[in-house]
Amino acid sequence: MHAVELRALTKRFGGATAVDELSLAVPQGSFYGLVGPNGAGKTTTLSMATGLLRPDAGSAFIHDIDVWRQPLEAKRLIGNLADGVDLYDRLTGEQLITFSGQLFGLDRDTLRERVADLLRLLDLEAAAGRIVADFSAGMTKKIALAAALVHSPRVLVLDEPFESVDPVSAANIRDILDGFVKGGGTVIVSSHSMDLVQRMCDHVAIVAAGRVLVAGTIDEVRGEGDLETRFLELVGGRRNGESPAWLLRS
Amino acid sequence: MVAALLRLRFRILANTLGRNTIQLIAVIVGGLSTVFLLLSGLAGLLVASFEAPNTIQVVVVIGGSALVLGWFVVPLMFDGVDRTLDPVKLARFPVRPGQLMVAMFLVGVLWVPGIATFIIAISTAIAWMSHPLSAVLAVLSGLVGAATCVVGSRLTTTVAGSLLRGRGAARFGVAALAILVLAGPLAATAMTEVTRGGFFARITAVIEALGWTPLGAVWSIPGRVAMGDSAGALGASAIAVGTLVLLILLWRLSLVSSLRVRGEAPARAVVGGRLGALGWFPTTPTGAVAARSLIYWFRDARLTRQLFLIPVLPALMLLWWQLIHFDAIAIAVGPVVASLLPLSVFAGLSYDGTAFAAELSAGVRGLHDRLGRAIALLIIAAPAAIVVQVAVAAVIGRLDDLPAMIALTVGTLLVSVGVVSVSSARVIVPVARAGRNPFSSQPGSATVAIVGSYAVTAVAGVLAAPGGALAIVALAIGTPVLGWAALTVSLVIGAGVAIGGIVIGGRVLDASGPAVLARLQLVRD
Repeated sequence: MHAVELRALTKRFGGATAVDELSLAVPQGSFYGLVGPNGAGKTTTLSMATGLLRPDAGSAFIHDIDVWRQPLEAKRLIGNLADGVDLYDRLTGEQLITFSGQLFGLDRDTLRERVADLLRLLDLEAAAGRIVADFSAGMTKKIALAAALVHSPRVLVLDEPFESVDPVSAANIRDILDGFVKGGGTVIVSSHSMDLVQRMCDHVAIVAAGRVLVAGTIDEVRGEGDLETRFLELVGGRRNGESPAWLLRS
Repeated sequence: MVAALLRLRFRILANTLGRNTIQLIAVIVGGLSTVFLLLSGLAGLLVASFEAPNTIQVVVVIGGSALVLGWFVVPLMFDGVDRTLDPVKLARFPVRPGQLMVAMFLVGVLWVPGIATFIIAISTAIAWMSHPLSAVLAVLSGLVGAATCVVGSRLTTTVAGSLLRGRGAARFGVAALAILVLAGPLAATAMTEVTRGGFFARITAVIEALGWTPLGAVWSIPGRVAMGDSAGALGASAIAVGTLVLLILLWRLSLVSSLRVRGEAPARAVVGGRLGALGWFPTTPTGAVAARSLIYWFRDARLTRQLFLIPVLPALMLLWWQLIHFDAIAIAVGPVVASLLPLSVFAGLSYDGTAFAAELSAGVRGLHDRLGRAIALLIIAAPAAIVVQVAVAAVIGRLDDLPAMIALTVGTLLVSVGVVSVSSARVIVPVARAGRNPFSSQPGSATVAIVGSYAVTAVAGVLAAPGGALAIVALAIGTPVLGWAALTVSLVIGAGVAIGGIVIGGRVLDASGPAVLARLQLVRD
């Protein structure tokens, strides 16, 4: 059984096709990396997979539940860290995680315990009572991650989870995600850092122009070289030559 | 530099309107209604020109003062003033405050309201046609008056904006502005108390007082000359020019402080443990939404400013009642306050912005979302409206009519809650994002907001009519039984509309949730 299965997902914005009949199968218990250049359609794909953006065509399944036919059931299984959306940032950090848990109907005692655990795991205890709007970018990512984890989902969909996160917190987050996968959960992360994906994930898909160029285990995809070389090979777009003279002068 | 800033502003304007048809239509509708207002204003000035000088003076001073007051106050009530040239955004470029002020002033002038204001201000000369010297002076005083309008609106938005960015200061900032706004009518009332004459004497006293305030002095200059009061004209000129200079200095001061790049505030350790409203409600989706909405009413400056209107509007209306002793004005206070908060969130999801994705990700049912928001709204609005209405009944000495008055208030409140539960599930308008200056906005969004709230008000008005009509009859005849009947009818219909609105709104939201988020993403930047 697949934790996530995307079948020919398609999304057009005006004339431009952002996601073009994209299909992807994510095995249960895998740590799946989604990489691609800017504008490849990663965020759009993940939004359609998690029920935030209605696809023009195609379907998405989470543990065999159709996201767009039975959205409420599917969404209970997903922990979603979406990119490019705001948080209810007038709440304090602690309030925001509590609010997210309450949306899933967690009871007060369970919630109190989980909120305390998450704040500790993500090094946010000292900021628990501060308003999220005052958080730094990295802290905001971490609090959003905590809000995505609080209802103990089975599939974590994380769009750029390490952006602006400091190295110590990033290592802590990786530990959390590793533990989550060991416990039988599935993680999908999108990232620009080939290095990180190669070290952290066991599967990877390279996406460009709304299509999957290649997908499989890390070893299958990278072949002999490393992931970055393979990525540049597939996606192209490297420029040769020096920068203009005025930029080199100083 | 000034030219570059102006080009930047109009480029952004063109791009925004090209991308968003609704906003473009709103700009056109807003422009047409401004032209209509302008034409009626010009017609009024032409008619006035055939009257005696003291009548012309009344028209010009009242109209001019209203214009200045409008420029000061309207941006605080609606999302109306354009802040494309936000000094905070420009802080990292080498722009001098003086250049920025000139550019921002010209931006204020070179758009529909600014152009209309300058035309009508200069056209006060039409009213003084038969007094050539006054007519020439009217052109000059009109220029000063119009400049005062534009500079004043820039000042209020800059000051209020920087005050409100620091959330703690929100309360003081809006309260101080409210007091400023109230100062004029208070002075006018004080004057009428002193004179104690008939109706016309009162009005004349008000004009006399207005002509010496910063709002009206500039408009009174030509009239004072026409009536041969040259000492008065000199005094009024001093007040007018002084006002403008003072406003410019204050504006410069506030701009300079916001052009300075501020470092991040030092991170204080604040341990948790205080859940606030999230600890009071049951831990269900409905409870979570209700608690979150309640917290936002007090912590989000865009919503909090509405709370300040709750005491300010009744105060203004009671002052008016004090002036002309017409009970309907006082009795309307309750329904006005009752509809104030619901109407301000007729497109409530716009204020959530893309944070609404949290609810959508969690699969919250539309019904639970609507119910939660309605509960938060009622917790604030119901006690406020009822307390205000009881206070009004006491002030005007009609406590016997309380059942009918409460019927009007409660009926309006419940019906409005029902109607906005539906409208806010569907309608998204561009609003300033949380934490930005709550008084900044994009062109045309004020018109969208105003047209939208008209439509919502009309629907609510129709639905509230049966109970309302009964209450009005009860108030006119004064039969206690009728008042109680009105209260019963209003409660039954109101509860029905509220529940129906929440259910329908919930279905709408279930169907349109992802589309709403897509639209929120579109208006986000």
